[in-house]
Amino acid sequence: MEAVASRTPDAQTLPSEWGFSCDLEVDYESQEIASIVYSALDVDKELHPDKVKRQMSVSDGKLSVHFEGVEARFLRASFSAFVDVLTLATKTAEEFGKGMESWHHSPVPN
Amino acid sequence: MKNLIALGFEGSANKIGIGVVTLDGTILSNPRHTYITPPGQGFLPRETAQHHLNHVLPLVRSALDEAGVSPAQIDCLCYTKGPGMGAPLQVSAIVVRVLSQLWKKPIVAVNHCVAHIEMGRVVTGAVDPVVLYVSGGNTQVIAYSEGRYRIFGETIDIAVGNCLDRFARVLTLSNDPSPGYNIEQLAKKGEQFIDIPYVVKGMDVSFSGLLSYIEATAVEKLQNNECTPADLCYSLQETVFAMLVEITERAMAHCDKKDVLIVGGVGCNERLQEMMRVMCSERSGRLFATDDRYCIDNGAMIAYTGLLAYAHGATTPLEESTFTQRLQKGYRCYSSETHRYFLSADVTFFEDSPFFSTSESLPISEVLPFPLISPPDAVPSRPLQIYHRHHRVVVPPSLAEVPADSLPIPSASPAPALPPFAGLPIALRKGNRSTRNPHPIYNFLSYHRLSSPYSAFVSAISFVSLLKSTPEALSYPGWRQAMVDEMTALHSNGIWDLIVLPSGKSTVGCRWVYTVKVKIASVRLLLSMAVMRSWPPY
Repeated sequence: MEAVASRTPDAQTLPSEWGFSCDLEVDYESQEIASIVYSALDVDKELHPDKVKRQMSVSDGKLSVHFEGVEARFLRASFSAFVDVLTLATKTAEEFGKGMESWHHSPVPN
Repeated sequence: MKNLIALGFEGSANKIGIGVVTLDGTILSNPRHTYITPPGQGFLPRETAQHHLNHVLPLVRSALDEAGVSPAQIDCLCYTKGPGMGAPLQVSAIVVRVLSQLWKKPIVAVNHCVAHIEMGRVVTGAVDPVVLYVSGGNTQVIAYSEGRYRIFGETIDIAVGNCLDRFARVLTLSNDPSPGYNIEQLAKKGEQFIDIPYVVKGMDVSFSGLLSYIEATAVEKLQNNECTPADLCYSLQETVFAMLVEITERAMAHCDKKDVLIVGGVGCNERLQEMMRVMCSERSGRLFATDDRYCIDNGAMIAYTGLLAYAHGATTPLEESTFTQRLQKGYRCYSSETHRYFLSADVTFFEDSPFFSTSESLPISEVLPFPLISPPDAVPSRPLQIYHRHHRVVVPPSLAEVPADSLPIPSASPAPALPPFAGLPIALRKGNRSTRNPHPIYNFLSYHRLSSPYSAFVSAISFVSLLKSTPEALSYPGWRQAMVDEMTALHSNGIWDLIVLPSGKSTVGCRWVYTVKVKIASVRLLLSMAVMRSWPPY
C-alpha cells in the first residue's frame, strides 16, 4: 500500500473562496478494500461544509481524496482528522480482511 | 433455534469496550480499556479518540478469542450511536462499518442510555423498576410507563459524575481507576459534615451551583485547616446522593413502583447503593444494582441491546450508521470579549460581584433583547447650567447665592440636557410584564367588596391622574404646586448649587416623576387612625 500526498496551497490558481487545497491518494491494490474504506469513510460528512469540502473517489484499487478549504488551518484540522480515521479503517481491513474461512485463533495479546 | 450472537462496540467517553453476548444475556467476553488522565485533568475528545484508535483493534481480537467465537458465528455488529463525544464515537463507528463489509454482517446502532438500562435489567433480573441512571454524562430518573421509557427527573445542568470528577480534579485525586472510586474511598475516612447547598428543584436536581460552592470553600477551608479532603468528599457524597434518593423516591411515588435499579458509572458507588437501599426498604421495595463490570460503560451492554433490536428485525443501513454527539446542555452565556453568545455547562456563579463593571460601556442593544430608543440628538450651543451637588462643608446656604433665573420652574431646565430615556415613563422603559392570564375577567377591577372607607380612599387615589411629561404636569395646579414646593425645599436646604457646566463634563439628568406613593401599610395606618379617632367613614 502506498500513499501519495500532495498539498497545493495555491491562492492564485483557485477561486478566491476555496483558496487552499490538498490531495491524498492511497493505493490498496484491491478494488474491494478501497471500496470498503471509501464506504466506511463516506458516511461521516465534513463538520463545517462551508469551510472545508472533501471529495473522494475510487479507481484501480486506489482511493483518491481531494480537500478544499477557505483557510489553511481548517484544511489542516480536517485533513489530520481524516488521516486518523483513514488509518484506522485501513488497519481494520488489513487485520480482519483475510476472509472468514481462514480465521484461526491467535493468542490473546498482552 | 440458534442462539444469536452479537459483537458490541462502546466508545462514547473515555472507555473503549468490546463485548460478545448471546440473546439469552450470557456474556461471553467483555474486555475494555480506559483512558486515564493525570490527576487534576479531564479527558478531551481528541486525545480520547487517539487512545481508542490505539486500542480498538487488539480489543476486537481479544474479545473474539476470549469468547471462542469466529466472525462467521456472529449475527450482528452493534455500536454506540450516541450520546457521547464525537471523535471517540467515530472510532467505533468506523471499525464497525469496515467489519460489516468485510464479514457481510448487519449493523445495529444503539443508544447508550437505553443500553445501560437494558443491561441493568438483564444482569439483575429487575422486572419493572424505576431506573436511576447516573454517570459522567447523564443523570436521569427514568420509568417505563404507559408503553415507553419516560424521564421523570434529571439534572438541569451537569451530570452527577461530572460533578464528582471535577471535584476530584480540585483535590487532584488520581483518575485511576476512576475519580469517583477514589472519592468514595476517601469519603470513608470523613469525620466532619460540611454544609453544602442542597439543590432539588421539583423532580430535577442541579449540581453546578454546589460544585462552584464546594470548589470555592474547599481551597479556603483546606488552607485554614478547618477540614480535611476526606471531610469534603464525605460531605459532597452525602449531599448529592441524598438529592438523587429524593428525586428517585418522588418518581416512585408518582408512578407507583416499588423497586429501583441503579445503572451508570456512578451506580457502582456503594454509599449511593446503601442510601437507596434504605429508602427502598422503607417503601417495602428492593434495590437492584450491579458492580463495576456492568455499571461502567462496556461493550457487552451495547451488544446485548443491539441484539435485542436485531432479534426484533431492526438493523441500520451502512450509509445511516452515523454517530450523534451529545447536545450540550448548559447556560446561555454572553462573552464580553467576543460579544457573542455561547452555550456552556461549566459555569461558576459569583453572586456578590456584578458582571458588568460600571466603567465599561457596552452597547445595550447587544445585551438586551428589546429595541433601543435613541435620544434626540441636540448639541447644546452654549455652556449648560447644571445643578451640582452642594458640598456639605459649605454652610450655611443662602438663597442669595442662587441666581434669580434659577427659580424653581421646571420648564427652565433645558430639554437637550435630559438623559436618553427621559422622555419616557419608567414603566415603558422597563418593558411590560405579561401575566398571561387568559381569562377576560382578569382585566376588570371591582371595588364593590371593599369596605366603604377603604373604597373611598382607593377611589380617591385612583382619581389622581398620573402624568407623563413636565409640560402636561404644569397645566395641573396641584402638580405645579407640588413641583414648586419640592424645588423650594431643595434650595432652602442647600442641597444643590447652580454652576456653569465644567468643560469635559457631561450632565446627568433628572426628571420629574408624577406618581402617588401608597404603601398598603400606610393605608392600614390611616384606617386604624380613623378608627381610633372615630373619624366618620365617608
